[in-house]
Amino acid sequence: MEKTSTRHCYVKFLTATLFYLLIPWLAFAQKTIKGTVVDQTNKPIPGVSIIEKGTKNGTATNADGKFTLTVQKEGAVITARIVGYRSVEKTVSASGTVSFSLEEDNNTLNEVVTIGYQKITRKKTTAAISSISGKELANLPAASFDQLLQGRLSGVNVQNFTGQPGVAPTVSVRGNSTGSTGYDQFNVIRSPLYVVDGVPQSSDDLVPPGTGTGTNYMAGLNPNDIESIDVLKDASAAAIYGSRAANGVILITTKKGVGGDTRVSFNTYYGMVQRPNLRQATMGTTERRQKMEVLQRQLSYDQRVQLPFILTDSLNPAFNGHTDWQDLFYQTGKINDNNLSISGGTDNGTTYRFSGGYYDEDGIVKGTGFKRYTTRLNLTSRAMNKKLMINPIFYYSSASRGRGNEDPNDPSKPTKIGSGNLPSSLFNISPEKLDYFVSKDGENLNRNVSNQFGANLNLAYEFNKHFTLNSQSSYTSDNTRRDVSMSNLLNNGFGNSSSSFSSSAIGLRTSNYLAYNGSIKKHSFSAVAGQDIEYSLFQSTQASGSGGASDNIQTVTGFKQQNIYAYSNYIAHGLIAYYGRFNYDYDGKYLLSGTIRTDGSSGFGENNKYGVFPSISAGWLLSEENFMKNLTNNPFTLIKIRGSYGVTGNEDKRNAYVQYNKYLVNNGGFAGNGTANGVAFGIQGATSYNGVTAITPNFINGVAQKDISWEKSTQWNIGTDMEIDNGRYAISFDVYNKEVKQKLFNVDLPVTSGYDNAFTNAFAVRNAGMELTLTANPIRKEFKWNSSFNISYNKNQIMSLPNGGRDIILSGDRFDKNHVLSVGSPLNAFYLYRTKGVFSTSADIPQNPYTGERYRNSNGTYSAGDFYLADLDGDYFIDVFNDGINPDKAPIGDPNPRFTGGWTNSFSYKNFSLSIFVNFTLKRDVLNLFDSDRFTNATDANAVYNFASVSSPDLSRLNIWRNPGDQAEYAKLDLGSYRYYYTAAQSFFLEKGGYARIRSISLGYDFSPKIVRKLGLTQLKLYAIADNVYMFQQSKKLPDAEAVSGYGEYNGTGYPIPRKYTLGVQVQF
Amino acid sequence: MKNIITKIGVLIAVATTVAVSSCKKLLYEEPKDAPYEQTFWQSSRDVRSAIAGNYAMMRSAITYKNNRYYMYGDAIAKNYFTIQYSGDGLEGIQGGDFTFQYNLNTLANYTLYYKSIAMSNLILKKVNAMSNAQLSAEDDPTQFRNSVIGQAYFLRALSYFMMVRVWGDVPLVTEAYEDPINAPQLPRSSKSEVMKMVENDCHKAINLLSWNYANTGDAKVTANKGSAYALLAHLYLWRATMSDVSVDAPNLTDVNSADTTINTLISKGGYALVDTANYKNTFIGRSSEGIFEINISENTLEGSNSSIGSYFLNENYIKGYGNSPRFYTNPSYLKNHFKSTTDIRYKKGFDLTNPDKPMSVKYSNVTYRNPGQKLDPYLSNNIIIFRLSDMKLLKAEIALYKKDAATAIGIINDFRKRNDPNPVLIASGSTVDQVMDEYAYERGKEMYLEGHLFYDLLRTRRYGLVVDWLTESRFRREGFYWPVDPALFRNNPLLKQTPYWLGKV
Repeated sequence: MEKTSTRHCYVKFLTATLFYLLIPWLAFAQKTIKGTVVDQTNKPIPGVSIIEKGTKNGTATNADGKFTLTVQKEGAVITARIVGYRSVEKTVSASGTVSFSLEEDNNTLNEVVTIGYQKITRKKTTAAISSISGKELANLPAASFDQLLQGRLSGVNVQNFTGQPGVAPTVSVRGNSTGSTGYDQFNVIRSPLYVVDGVPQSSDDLVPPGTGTGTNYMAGLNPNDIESIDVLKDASAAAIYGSRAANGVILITTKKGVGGDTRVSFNTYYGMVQRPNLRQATMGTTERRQKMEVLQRQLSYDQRVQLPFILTDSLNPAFNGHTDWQDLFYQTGKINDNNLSISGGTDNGTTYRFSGGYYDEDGIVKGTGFKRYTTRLNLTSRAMNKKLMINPIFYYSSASRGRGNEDPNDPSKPTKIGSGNLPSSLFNISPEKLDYFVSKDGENLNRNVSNQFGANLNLAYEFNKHFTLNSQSSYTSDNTRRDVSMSNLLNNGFGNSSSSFSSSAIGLRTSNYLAYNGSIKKHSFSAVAGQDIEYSLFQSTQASGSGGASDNIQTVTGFKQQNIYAYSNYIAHGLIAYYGRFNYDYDGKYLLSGTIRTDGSSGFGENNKYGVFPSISAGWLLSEENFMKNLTNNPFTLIKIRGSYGVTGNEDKRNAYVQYNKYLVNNGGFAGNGTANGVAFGIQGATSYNGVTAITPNFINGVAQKDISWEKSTQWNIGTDMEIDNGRYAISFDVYNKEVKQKLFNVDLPVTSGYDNAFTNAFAVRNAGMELTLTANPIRKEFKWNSSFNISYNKNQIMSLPNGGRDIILSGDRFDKNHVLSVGSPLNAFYLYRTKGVFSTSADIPQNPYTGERYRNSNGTYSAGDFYLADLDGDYFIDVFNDGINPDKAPIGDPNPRFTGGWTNSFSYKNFSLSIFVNFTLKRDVLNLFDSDRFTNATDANAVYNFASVSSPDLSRLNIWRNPGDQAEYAKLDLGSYRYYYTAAQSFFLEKGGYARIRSISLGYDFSPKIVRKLGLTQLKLYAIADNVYMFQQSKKLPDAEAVSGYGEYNGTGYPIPRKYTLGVQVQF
Repeated sequence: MKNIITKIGVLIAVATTVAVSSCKKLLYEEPKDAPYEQTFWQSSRDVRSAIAGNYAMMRSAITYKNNRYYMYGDAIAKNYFTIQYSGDGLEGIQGGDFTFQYNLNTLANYTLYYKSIAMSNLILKKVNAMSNAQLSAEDDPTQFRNSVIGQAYFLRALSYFMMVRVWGDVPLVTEAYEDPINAPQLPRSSKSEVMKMVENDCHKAINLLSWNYANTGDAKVTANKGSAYALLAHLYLWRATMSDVSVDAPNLTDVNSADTTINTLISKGGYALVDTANYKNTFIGRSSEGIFEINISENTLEGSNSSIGSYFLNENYIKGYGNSPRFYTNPSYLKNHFKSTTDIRYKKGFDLTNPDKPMSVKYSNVTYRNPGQKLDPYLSNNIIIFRLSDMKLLKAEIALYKKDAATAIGIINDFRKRNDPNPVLIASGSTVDQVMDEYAYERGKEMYLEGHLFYDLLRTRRYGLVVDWLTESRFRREGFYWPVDPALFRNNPLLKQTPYWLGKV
């Protein structure tokens, strides 16, 4: 029975197809029509698509809003359509002239969103997708678009933790689900998958920190070339990207040519980057006086005899300085961006757009900056009766990033001076030393370049109205180079050094899919099915030499053999995927969609090469129901309820070969010559035993695993979209729960197996949250006001850990071990002692009732003026050891922001426009390491000397314990006590990290068409933007609550986020 | 219409074929930066590197942390030398307290030994399975295979022997796991089982190894038949005296086995004592009396910048080390042990510039990697595990266990005469007990800082002479064994703490 009906449908559908195919040939007459398209204020609109309804026949308006079109049918209906305006249809009149006046449209329903391999109107989506148009990001002073996404899209959390130009922000879609047993500040948050014009980008960081260029891969894309950005948040949307979609997918569409006359547009802005306010530091005699006071109080007469000269010898010209160290390395920078584009098209469907851009930003730390040249060509042509679309895209970008004098071992530190080692102001600095601390590169070679080249060829053949075969092929080639040399002086007299790093990444991809569109009565279908093949190859070479003989040597040559280090690697990765999606709707009311993708990867074990990622979603357009439509005064133009469930995956290319036990060659190291435990990457030290190269299995984590497979993330999402009064007000609300299971993680193995741990599927994290977007256009007259507000809430929780759920202290963290992974706690929760205050007098110190012993730690008893750290296990003893589970510490505080969002308000009146954008992050905890580190210099072995030679906080401004009975906030500044009460790992240094920032204010003025036309232009606009205008934050102690690492730490050594002012002009002719 | 369907069909078919044919290859990317299990174990070159890897793992195990070989064997026997305070708590072990966190995490943790053992087990499994054809680059593939397997047995036995002396009972693993992820957690096996296994491995090694080295460059720093005999002799004596510490009388069967083992070693090994004029050469390594040593040599860039010797040396020996080295020899040790200052081991072994804190200069063969500026110092002194003098002195111990004081006196006096132009000799007619004291002192002089002294004191029950924290009652309760790092219990429910330390760690 069922079979028959299917066949019946099929025949019907074929007949219908045939009928449509014949339409053009049945046309009996041709007629040329003319017309103009203007907006409500009678300004001509260029680039409007003019299409004869029901055909492919179309053109676009020219710069004056005029068009001509040859129609094939008597009484044809012409549609004028452009994004941002409501489309209008008109029947061709006998006169042959059709004029359109388009109303601006706030209704987003007919907006087209990209969902991967397909486009669909927003009205018909059943998935959670956030979108933004390139216009909203235009002209804002930032090197890359990801920085600009902050606060603009619900569900997308961007933290621009550094102000360094060209460095990637952290981006997470619907929370972070990356957990690692080691402290790795460069990978604490994994980015979503970026897909540019259908091509997934390898933003995976294959280069370990401390090597490579460290430049944001996405900074290679000029924000000015972006047409739109769509974020696939839930599984039903993202599942089509299967194995790489677990962290969300961000689809970027670049600008294409628009039909009509050739248009040249030029856009430039110039501005300045303001030097930040300096942190408060004590200077000169104030510092000396304060330090002497502390020392005199604490030291005995004998100890005072040996006070460091720097404090006592104020007559010594080397020690009577008043050096403001911070002042030495900050500067005011400039920023400049120029973009030129030429676009147009011809009547036969060919369009083109060519763009070139130059961006140059100086950093506020001397020697840092970012410079980029970009060019992009997008051509579209039609052949074979316009049935075949040919769309090649070429792009090239070259970026160089100045890195100043950053700490070579920790690129997150832009200067060699941090909070713990800011030298005392008393030192007078010699010109050579000044060079050492702040020199950009002096006479030395310092190049840090990234080039990206790509060629895409997109073909689409339309068999008929229903079937289209698409083929997308792409080739990308990225090269980076980092060459740096340092003189003998900069190396403290140990000879010159130089290093050279270069990498090349090649990506090849072909994607072929067949799309179907059709409807029978009230049933509409669309489907896509296809296959992707991808291959990528990453190779890098690094060489370095040290202890050289001449500063003139700036390449890696002429070094002693034993001082040369060389390394090259090869990481290849293959992926094969099959995927399909179907969308069905009944009567435009009931929507159903399903996708399935299966990915095979070379990165997984023999027994588990393929992963399957299905998803399903459904929607109900309540507003289309008659009972809703029939309601009188029904303000709702749309009510949609939708739900989805699906599975996505995640693969980390850095572990491309984890299924093999790669043996460690040169594993001859031991304590005294290299490292005792061996290191996985680049073994240093002895390479041999008795001269024979030592090779062993990788006993650290090299277990070969045939079963290793994808990380799987399952997610459900329920959401609703509502619009009132044709988009005058709109609400979108989503609730979701995303659970990553079988996450790749280190599992401890039995000691007796010889292996330490295995990187295998064993870890689960859950992110659950809500997202709300409100848009309103309350005033739509000559004075216009648009407002858009979004807020996202995400709660992150570890669901399970390997080895029986035991807490894991991150290895490689600071001495204090500030973070823990614990079931039930958020990822990377702080692991802290609870500070109960400062002991005012010794009577306040508890005593063990059983032994009578005073409260103590393993280095002695506490005394008045020390911090009172809570004794969680009740043994009157604070465990100060830092390398494991500590009974007196607990997971406290959440470094992952709970609330993020933003609020944009745009106003326009006549030729003026004003836009104010605010973004915020709320409910986040920050550990203020800067505050703690200022006190800890003086606690270790060489306490007095360290105290004297390093800058100290201005004690007169702090409520610090000085004498018994003081009710102090800060504990006493103790020298060499080993009592560790100033440890950073205590709740005293935990701050509320919430903030709201007036991110940008932009003011624009459009010259009136009259003046513009007189100048022979079509557009002339002036604008001014102030970026990072003002910050409201909860914490009084943090200089900038956003300049916080992914681990929620503020260490005072990062790169301040600067304020920028720009002036720009946009011209089109 | 059909045409279209056909076209689509053809296209899909082509696409699928292309995909499927390239599929296999695309999904199998192999590493190019390292050998891996499937590509290794193919030639004798691989095997040489693997056995070198096994020695390297052994070297890494006994040097981490703070040269643990000497911490267990010498440092905890308190009054030979003093470790000064420097914030890491290491000095605590000299008071018999092994519970300080950092020491528990390192010295009480046996993980590194199991890496060496895992390597031995893997070599035993893989090399046994290799064909003569694969080893055809060698003149005699069978002999080559035997030699490698013999060395792997020796190294495994040595690891277990070192562990059994430190912890007593330890987990026993003799297989290379196919799938380490599903490897079982193991309880501690009794020390008698462990020692039985050491004995068996030694016998296997003895049968497979020869007295001579095929390549003279391998002499001393890799194992031969002599190395295995020396280990076996030590095992027998340890088992004879330490299997049951509630009694002091040794098991004479084991004592006799030790005796015959040493006799064979001395008669067949071809070892010879070094002329006292070249006293310090013995401790650079590869001397005529060396039996088994771990290679620490700058000749192959395998020197150490933190060897046990360097902790004693000041600026005069190593530029940049300052004038207060962390370790110093106790003046009381020198006073108690050396009745005459003309002993060559006193004169050449110690620097008394600072009489309060004498330096042991036994290991002081310094090489600077940057000789121009005298930067980057490395010590080139092998870790001497077994040497002829050790074996010769053990014969005195054996004689004493057999109540033969005269033979023991003869051996000890020979040592004194050899090393001292004005020797203070043991009077003939001394009792076994008296001679045993003298024996302990003689070991203290000859074997100072070679990782043996604490065990000597335990075997001979002479710990009271030197180690004040080890009372007899603590000794009877096996309080000389180390606790097991609590971290090792986390995943292993079968593991039990060393009895003496239960409730103390």
